[in-house]
Amino acid sequence: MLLIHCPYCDATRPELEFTYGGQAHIARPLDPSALTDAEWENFLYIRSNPRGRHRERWRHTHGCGRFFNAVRDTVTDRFAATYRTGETGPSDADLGGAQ
Amino acid sequence: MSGYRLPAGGLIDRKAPVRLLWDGEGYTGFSGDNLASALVANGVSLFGRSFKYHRPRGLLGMGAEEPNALVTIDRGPGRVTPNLRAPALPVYEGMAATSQNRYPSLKYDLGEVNNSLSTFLPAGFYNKTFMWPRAAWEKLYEPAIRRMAGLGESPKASDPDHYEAVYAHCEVLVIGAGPAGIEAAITAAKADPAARVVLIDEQEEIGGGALSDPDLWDWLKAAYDDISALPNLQVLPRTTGIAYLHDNYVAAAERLTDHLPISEATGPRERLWRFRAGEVILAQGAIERPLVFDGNDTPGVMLASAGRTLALRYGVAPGRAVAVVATHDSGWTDAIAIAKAGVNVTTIIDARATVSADLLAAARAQGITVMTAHSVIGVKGRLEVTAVETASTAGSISSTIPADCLLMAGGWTPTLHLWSHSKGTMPGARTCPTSRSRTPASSAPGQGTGPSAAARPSPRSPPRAPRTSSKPSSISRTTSPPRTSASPCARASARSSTSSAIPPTAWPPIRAKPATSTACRSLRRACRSPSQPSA
Repeated sequence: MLLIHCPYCDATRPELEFTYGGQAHIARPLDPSALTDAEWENFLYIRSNPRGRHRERWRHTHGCGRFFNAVRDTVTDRFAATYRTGETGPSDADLGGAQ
Repeated sequence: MSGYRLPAGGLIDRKAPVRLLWDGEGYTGFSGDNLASALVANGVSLFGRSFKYHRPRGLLGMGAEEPNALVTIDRGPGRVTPNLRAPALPVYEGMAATSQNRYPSLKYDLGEVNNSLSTFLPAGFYNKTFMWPRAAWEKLYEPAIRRMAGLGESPKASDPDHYEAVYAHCEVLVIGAGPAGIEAAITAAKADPAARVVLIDEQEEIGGGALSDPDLWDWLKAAYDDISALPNLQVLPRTTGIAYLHDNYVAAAERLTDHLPISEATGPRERLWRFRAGEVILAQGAIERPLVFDGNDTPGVMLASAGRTLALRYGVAPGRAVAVVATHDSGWTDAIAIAKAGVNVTTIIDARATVSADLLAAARAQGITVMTAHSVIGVKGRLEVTAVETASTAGSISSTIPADCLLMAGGWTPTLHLWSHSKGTMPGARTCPTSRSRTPASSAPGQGTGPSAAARPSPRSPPRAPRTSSKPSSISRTTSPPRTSASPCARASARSSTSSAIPPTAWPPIRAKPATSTACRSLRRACRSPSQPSA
């Protein structure tokens, strides 16, 4: 069972308290009606599935209840960082270069 | 093999006889025995039948590695457990054990016909050969095959017991309480009185290999005293580490009542511990390797470490004429030690041409015939060993040695199961970029350095602190841990900086004093025994 750091509670808690929220940093289009079907499909359904570092959302369901962002390695399940929603978080360079 | 109880020695309490049933017949063991040692002491050599060919099988090891002596324990309706390993079962008054996979009896097993037909029943033999005639499958073939091919029978009634599960937090978790684990736990607990240290071991008593080495009993007794004096060190015997997961999350199963007479068993039967540890130290020791020769599954052929444990921990001679085949010095030290304990060791056969002069002299001083540059090519006997056939490594058959027990010493394999759970790799194992990235990165809190593979807790050498890997990098786990004397306490005390993951006021708190725990009763009992070897 993983340990996850909630940036709002500033506490490290077992995975049981959290739920996964999908890929992070996907901005909703400002004017959906202006999008083509392909662009809309891309926004709704197409997600990256990298082998390695992945930026994703987590929700501290059984704690503060808030969403935050995390950088997790999908191979080792290690969390490189967690940061609040709206922040850009550490860059790839900060985390030791691009993968 | 015709084992018998030695007149003295061992950690058993000879003033406390324990009665038990094996296949319906009554036997007497002593408090401190396990089922295997009690039966061997009564001359039992046949413990089971092999899975398919129903070959007679005897005791091989004296620990969790035992593959042959699988028994069913009956503790009442719904409390029937099959496939338990006899050497891992402490005896209690009224214990009822039965052998498995035989009909009508262990000694006369009709299934043994499979062994004569083995040419026609090769590995991978397809039981559906018996399809025809169709009606016979359900009525005749399947029931017969099911009875013959299998291990124990599953219990019929539902389980009336209840089970418990708890969470626990600690700064240092030591798995395996042999000399290395005990030393590590004591060092860590002494270094930082605020650090919660937990030491778990699957056996009844902590001590591991030291329990089979009278030379270490004084050290062990002092260690027990040390442990009792350390309020921050909790000892959990009868607790098997069963999983090593992410972020030092370790699961362990504690057996609470199965060692007690049925009338005394109250409360939950087992407890599942879910540890979150700051540091984990793996000190699970090693398992001896068997050797390959014709008939090496004949009852009476066992590991040298098993012979040593039988003779020195339980005061049981494994046979009346014991031969030892070794490819490793530990076979010699075992043979010499059990000869000194009063066992008739006749011969040591070693495949190596040269063996150290000290060992040769010590063996000859015990009147043991030494055959270097020889190996065992087979044993004679069906239900038990009657003779050992040897050949020189040059190839000529040289002799047949009468013996009823043959001890094998083929070297040691470290117990790497939990190490592998944690994605550790063997020192010297080939690594590639993929596998390196798969070893757990240790940047996460709580995963500081990963487990340190303790060396084989050689009961012969003086106890020492386990080696610890000093660099918290993923790469260091794929190489041999440096042999530094860095004690685990150095990191245990540095936890404030490295393991913010461990809440300072974790709940539930680990019981502060082991003095009230059941662990301690067995500690005290074992503590007494070494100092007062009962006659």
